[in-house]
Amino acid sequence: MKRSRFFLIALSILWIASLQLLAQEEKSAIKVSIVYTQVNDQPPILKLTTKVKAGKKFTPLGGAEGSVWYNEETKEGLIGQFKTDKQGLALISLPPQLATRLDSLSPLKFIAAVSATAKWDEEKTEIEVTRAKIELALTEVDSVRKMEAKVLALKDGKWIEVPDTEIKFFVKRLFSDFPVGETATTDNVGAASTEYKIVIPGDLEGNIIVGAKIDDNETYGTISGMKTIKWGTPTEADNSFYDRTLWAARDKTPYWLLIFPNVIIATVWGFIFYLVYLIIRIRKVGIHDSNV
Amino acid sequence: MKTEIDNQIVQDLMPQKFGRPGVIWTTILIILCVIGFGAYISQLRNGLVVTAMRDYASWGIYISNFVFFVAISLVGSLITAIFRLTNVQWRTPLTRISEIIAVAAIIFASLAIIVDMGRPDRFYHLFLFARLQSPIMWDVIVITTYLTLSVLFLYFPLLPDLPILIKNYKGSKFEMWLYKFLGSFWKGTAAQRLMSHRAVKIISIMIIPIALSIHTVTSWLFATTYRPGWDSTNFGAYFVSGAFLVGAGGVVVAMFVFRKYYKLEKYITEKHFDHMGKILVMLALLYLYFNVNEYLVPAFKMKKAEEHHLMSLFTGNYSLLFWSVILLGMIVPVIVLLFPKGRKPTTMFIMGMFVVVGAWFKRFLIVTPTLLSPFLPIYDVPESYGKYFPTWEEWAITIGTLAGALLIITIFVRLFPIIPIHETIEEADVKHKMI
Repeated sequence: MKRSRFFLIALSILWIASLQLLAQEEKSAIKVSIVYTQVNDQPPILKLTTKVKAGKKFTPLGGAEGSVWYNEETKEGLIGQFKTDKQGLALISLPPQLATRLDSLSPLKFIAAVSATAKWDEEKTEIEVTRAKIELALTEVDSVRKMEAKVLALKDGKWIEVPDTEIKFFVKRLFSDFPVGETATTDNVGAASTEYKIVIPGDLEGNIIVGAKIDDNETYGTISGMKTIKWGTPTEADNSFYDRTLWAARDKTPYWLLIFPNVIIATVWGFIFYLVYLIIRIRKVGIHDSNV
Repeated sequence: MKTEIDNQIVQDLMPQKFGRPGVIWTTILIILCVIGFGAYISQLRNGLVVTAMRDYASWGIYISNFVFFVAISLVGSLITAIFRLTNVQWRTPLTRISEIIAVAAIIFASLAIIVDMGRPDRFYHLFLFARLQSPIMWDVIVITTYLTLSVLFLYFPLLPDLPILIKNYKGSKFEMWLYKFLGSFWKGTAAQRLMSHRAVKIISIMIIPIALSIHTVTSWLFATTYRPGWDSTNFGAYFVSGAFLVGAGGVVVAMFVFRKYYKLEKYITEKHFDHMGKILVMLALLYLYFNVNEYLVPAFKMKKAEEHHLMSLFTGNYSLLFWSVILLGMIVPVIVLLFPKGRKPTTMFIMGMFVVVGAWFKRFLIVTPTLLSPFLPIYDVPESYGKYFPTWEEWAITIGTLAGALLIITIFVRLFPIIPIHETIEEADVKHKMI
């Protein structure tokens, strides 16, 4: 009896311990990454992405919380805290006191850490970014349009040309960038160019935003230079709302839609009124017959 | 002999007072309506936020329910008008059943639309600021027209029965007042019969295009919107065929219940079930054909933008419901009803129930999965917006409307003969003369 009780207790302890172990094993592997992003001279943004391992692949992890620091994980270095969205993405702007001193501080070091939860352990990453910029020049000679970009990086307080770097030319659209030509590589003076041949709609005056960018470079991050230029096809203002159209207000109903349905409605309801009239007639005939 | 038969018919077809089951049934329906009304008050007070409808699923079971009601109401035109015009002899005991189903369903279709409105107090704006360009306005127009015509279609053939009720039925003061108010003037004179005959003929002809347009316009509410699963030129015919099927299924269920409860075996015979069974097979096959068109063709192409919607139906979250509806609501009734034994009353009742319940969920499958699979992804919304499961308020209101429609039918049957007495007597007289 005693032996069996001991056996039961031992089994229970083993069971609880194995559950604990299983619970620990259930923690998922996660990944966090930072991309330093800057457009022209605008303040840079840090793009944080969190992913979780699902099977053999990493998929976006939403709702992960954590912190980002500049240079070191101290109270002074703390840039901010984040929580990733459904796509596993969070954006953090640099505070003004840091954003205004970037040139003097380059290269810049950023650290990001996702806080531990019951589902995953703490995960950290860090990047070191050298300040860089793209100078974009747009030319048009004899109807030949050209986009010329020069990549410069800040080294020892001086902007120097960056050779052998991949650069993409694009037109900015609503949801993503529309590529212009093939991906180019900067030459020994940091320059790359492409001919602009595409026809694309612009605004009312034909303005479009064109640009060149270094995408997710491990030294410089994502850097773009953009300019607005009248290389697009002017979009004609759609004033049809003020005409008699299907999408206009009720006082602008197309004539055909006023006439035909109303003729049908009037005819059908004419018959319905006739039917009501028949009821009245049947009633009258009945009452008259009763009186007779 | 003739008088004896006539008296027997009058006696058999008189409205009957509720027995215990009738009282229980009516009480349950009233309770469900009251709960639904209470839930609607909560929705009015707190707004549509009490529903599970959000940015993605902006139409939920209210609209599914609306489409279901519109669909089932089409039976009025099928049984009463089409059968009358084509001179189908056995239609008489089914005409009033189908017409009251049509009236009750169309009343609650209108209410289902109001229930779906965030600001029902502005309902009159629909008429005050009507835009003929809007398919919703077309729906309002055809529903109003169809309801009026259906009420008239119920009333005209009821006229000759009212004097019979006044003469033979011993009802309450209210009942007698009602019968006298509605039909004491009917004397059955040649002039009256001529006018009534003319009216019924006009309605029979008019109600068919109106009935077709009511459901076609309802389908256009979907088809004029560019969304996966709705962007189809077949939608009008697809909806109309489905409506005929559910309407016929509804009549079969009602036939069985009235026959059993009011002991109408002499009037609603196995022959009626047999005929309706064959019609159900034809309508189910027709609807199945449109379903194949609506799902198989897009599935063959499997456009990237439509993949999420189609896969959610075929293998995803809605697959169990989707395949159950296709199998139980269409394929099983076809197989069972193909055999003469399958067209016996009890089997017919079960198949009718399959068709009606399947049809309700089919409307849900038309509305919701599409809304949860938009062509353009919606950004910056909580994850829960990507799913839809109705709240208790939505269930209570929807069940309340279904109970309300059944309550209208129940009260009608309590007050009026569910099988036209005068028409049945006339038919019996013709048979008698022939013998």
